[in-house]
Order: sequence, then structure tokens, then C-alpha cells
Amino acid sequence: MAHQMNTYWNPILETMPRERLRELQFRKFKRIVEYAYEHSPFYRRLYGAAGMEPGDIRTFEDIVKVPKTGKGMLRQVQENPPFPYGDILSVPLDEVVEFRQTSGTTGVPVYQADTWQDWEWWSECWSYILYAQGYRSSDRVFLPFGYNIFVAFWAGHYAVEKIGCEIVPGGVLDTEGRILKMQELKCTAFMATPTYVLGMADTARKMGIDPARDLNIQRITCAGEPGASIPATKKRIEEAWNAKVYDHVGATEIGAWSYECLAQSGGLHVNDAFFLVEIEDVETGEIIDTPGKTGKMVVTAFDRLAKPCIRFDSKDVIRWSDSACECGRTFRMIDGGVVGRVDDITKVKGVLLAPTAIEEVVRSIPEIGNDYQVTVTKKGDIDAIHLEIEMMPGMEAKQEEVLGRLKDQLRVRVNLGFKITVHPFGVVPRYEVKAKRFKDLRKH
Amino acid sequence: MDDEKIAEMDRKIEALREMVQEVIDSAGDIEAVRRNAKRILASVKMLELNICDIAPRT
Repeated sequence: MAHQMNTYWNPILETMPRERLRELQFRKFKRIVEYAYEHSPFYRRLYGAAGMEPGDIRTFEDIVKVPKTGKGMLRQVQENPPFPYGDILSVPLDEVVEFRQTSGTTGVPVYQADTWQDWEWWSECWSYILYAQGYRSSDRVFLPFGYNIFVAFWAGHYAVEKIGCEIVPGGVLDTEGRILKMQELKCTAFMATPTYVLGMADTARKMGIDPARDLNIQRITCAGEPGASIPATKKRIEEAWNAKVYDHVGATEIGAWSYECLAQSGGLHVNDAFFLVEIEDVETGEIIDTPGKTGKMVVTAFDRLAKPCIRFDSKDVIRWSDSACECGRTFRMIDGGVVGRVDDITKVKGVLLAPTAIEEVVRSIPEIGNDYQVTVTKKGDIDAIHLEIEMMPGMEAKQEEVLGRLKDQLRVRVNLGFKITVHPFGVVPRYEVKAKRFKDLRKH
Repeated sequence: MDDEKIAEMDRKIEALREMVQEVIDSAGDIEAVRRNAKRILASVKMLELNICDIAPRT
């Protein structure tokens, strides 16, 4: 019973003094670079071209001298043997037991190889996440995702098992079937994208089931989109389900590197024992170590062996938090989760715009529906930004007053004038898993 | 947890790895033993990441 009361998956690592953590990170960084240099022709070429050998890394400050990798490189190297991963592969092909791939939304999908040890590592990283979010052996956890070629919540599945919870795989069921099964089995937790979690709540209500009242969900882990770190979206989900909502960020090529804990202190912990996260100034390339300044993430997974991920330019925009979390973890925190993607943050009418800022405003007004769409176009030399929203059913009479409030808040928060169209409920496109609500047509 | 207890766990985990490796080495062509033992080694690696990587070294 005492084990149920623990706060940490591994109290030694999670509360380790910062200086010891830094020393551990340095040792592990050197270890993975040496391993990659020894086992991966790709990394040997990359470092050789830069005139670098692993022995050149003598201090923590030397880490920035190690060449970065990026998605473009991963795509390119796939053209080399061995098929289909290319010579970044650092184990014999017959050691690979798991194939996954990226979604391919920004180009050719990246193929991901994992050994069984890598797969254990994935679920270990997820165990840190879920344990920090209160998952315990008394939980019955529903997984409403299509078990397929995308990594999605696969490792969450195995972490649930590792922690000792009971897993209910809801793979082939449709949304209605999933809701009925969650109700029938009195499931206590589930994991999905914020878009799908909100969509499930809508579907449940159409079925005459109020998720907040009629289901037994106590905690929801969100991933795949930034929504659970956007306060207004988090609030909507928590109210819809009468449950706590926790964010987690990871990626196919990287692993599960960050998580919100039970304290919900406005940021995500970086798992510093398993990953090195650096933040780089987008303009100058300088490493940002001070809190509050945004930059793009460069990340290293210390222990992933089939396809090492070393100084990977993730294009995620993040910033360090200046506050310690009350949970007692010494793992560093990023403030407000992933703020956006370098590719998504764009200038409109000369103003730097992050799509997440629009979501924060739209979702903070309860009379507006969950779904919205933003389109940026260019007429001549002038940018135009169009926001399409819906009123919640029964709120149509308040439309004019709500529109005024929305315009005011957008002006304050985003500093831009929007053309706004209000549609009847149900007209704005719905998304099943990951939403694509921001469309910048100027680029096409 | 004090360093001595971590060091003790470290030694036991190392012994565990050696023992499993010996099972693999003696398995010959018994795939059922080799494959299951290799899976155990992957779990042993997780113990190493959680404990051995931070164990005090003399």
C-alpha cells in the first residue's frame, strides 16, 4: 500500500540536485555520441565532415559544437541502405522489432526503427509521465486511438501496463462505441489529442451522456497538440469531463521528453535524466539558458539506440520557466508547454503571430463552440486574416455581444484586426485526431 | 536513498545482467530461451538507466 503513496516514479533521479543532473547529462551525452559514431555511418560522416570526434567533447559547453540533425537529414538518409531506414541505423537490421513513422504532414514520412530495448525505453519514459500524473495500479485506463503505424499512444499503453494499471484498448471501436465502453467499464483515465477529447465530449452529449456526470474519468493525458497547455482549452476539457487534464509532449523521432505533473503549475517538466533539451535563439543560434525567452528546441535522447537522436532540431518553440514546481522535481520546466512550431509562427501584417494565441482567446469565451478555423491570405501587398467560429447551441441570441468581446480580446492578445464570420453550429470543419485549424495560404 | 544502498542495488543489477547473459550463452539453439532472456536484458537495461547510471563509482 505504501507504494501507492509515492510521488515519483524514480525519486532519486527526479529530485536529484541540478549540478548532479547536469553531470549525469554530460556523461550520457558523451556516451550516446560515442555510440553513434561507432555504430552509425550517418553520424560518422556528419561528425567527420565537421572535423569532430567524440573525444573532442570535454566539457558541457562543448556540446554546442556537435552538429545538429534535422528532419530533412533523416528523410535524405532513408535513401541509403539498409531499407527502409538508411545508414543512420545503428544496430543490425534483424535487431529491429518495431516500425513506426511520422505523419508526413511536412513532407516524406520519417521511418522510425526501434529495438526491443528501445521499446522498453519508450515505455519507461512514459512511465515517468503517467506516474507523475497520478496513474496508479487502481486505474482502469481506456486508450481510444487507432493502434497503427504512428507512435501516438503506443508507449502509453505499455507504460500503463508497467505501472500496473489495467489497460482497455479501444482501437477499432468508433467514438460512440468507445464512450459506451468507457461508461460500461467505469474507466478512470484515458489519453487522446485535445481535439479528440473535446470531440468525444460532444459525441457523448449527443448520445445523451454527460461525460462530467455520467462517466467516471478522473484524469486525461493529452498529447499531439498544444491544447492541454493552453489554459482556456484545458479549462474546457476539464469542465466537459469533470477530470484533471495533463499535457505531455513527445515526438516519433525523439521520444516522450516532457510532461505536466499533478501540481499543474503552468509548465511541463523536461525529463532531464533521459533527454538533453537545449533552447536555441531562432535568429542568432545562441543557446538560451535564461527563463522567459522563446527559442527552438534542440534535443538529444540519451538512451535510444537503433536510431540515435542527437541534437535534433525539432522546430518546437519553447521557453524555460523561472519558477520551481511545488511537486519537488528538480527536472527543469518549460513555461506553458510548446508555444508553437517555428514553421507555424509567422508574421501577419508585420505582427508575429502564434496560432496558439488565437486558440487561447477563442476557447476563453464559453459561448463560442470548440471548433474554429483561421485563414491568412494576401490581397496585393496586404495580409488578411479570417477567423471562422460557431456559437454554442442555444447561444445564438448573444452573438453580437460575444463578437464584440472576441474582437476586443483578439486586439489585446494578438494585436491584429480579424475578419470574423460566425457560422451555425456544426459548419466549421471537425477533426478526428490532430486539428489543422490554421491555414496560411500566402505560402502557396 | 543513501549512496550505499544505491551501490548495493547497482551490484545486484550487474550480477543480474551477468546471470542472464550466461543463460543466453548456454542456450545454444533453444530460441525460447535466447529470445526470452534477451527481453529480460532489455528490462535490466531500464534498471541500469534508473540506478546504475547514478551509482557511486570507486
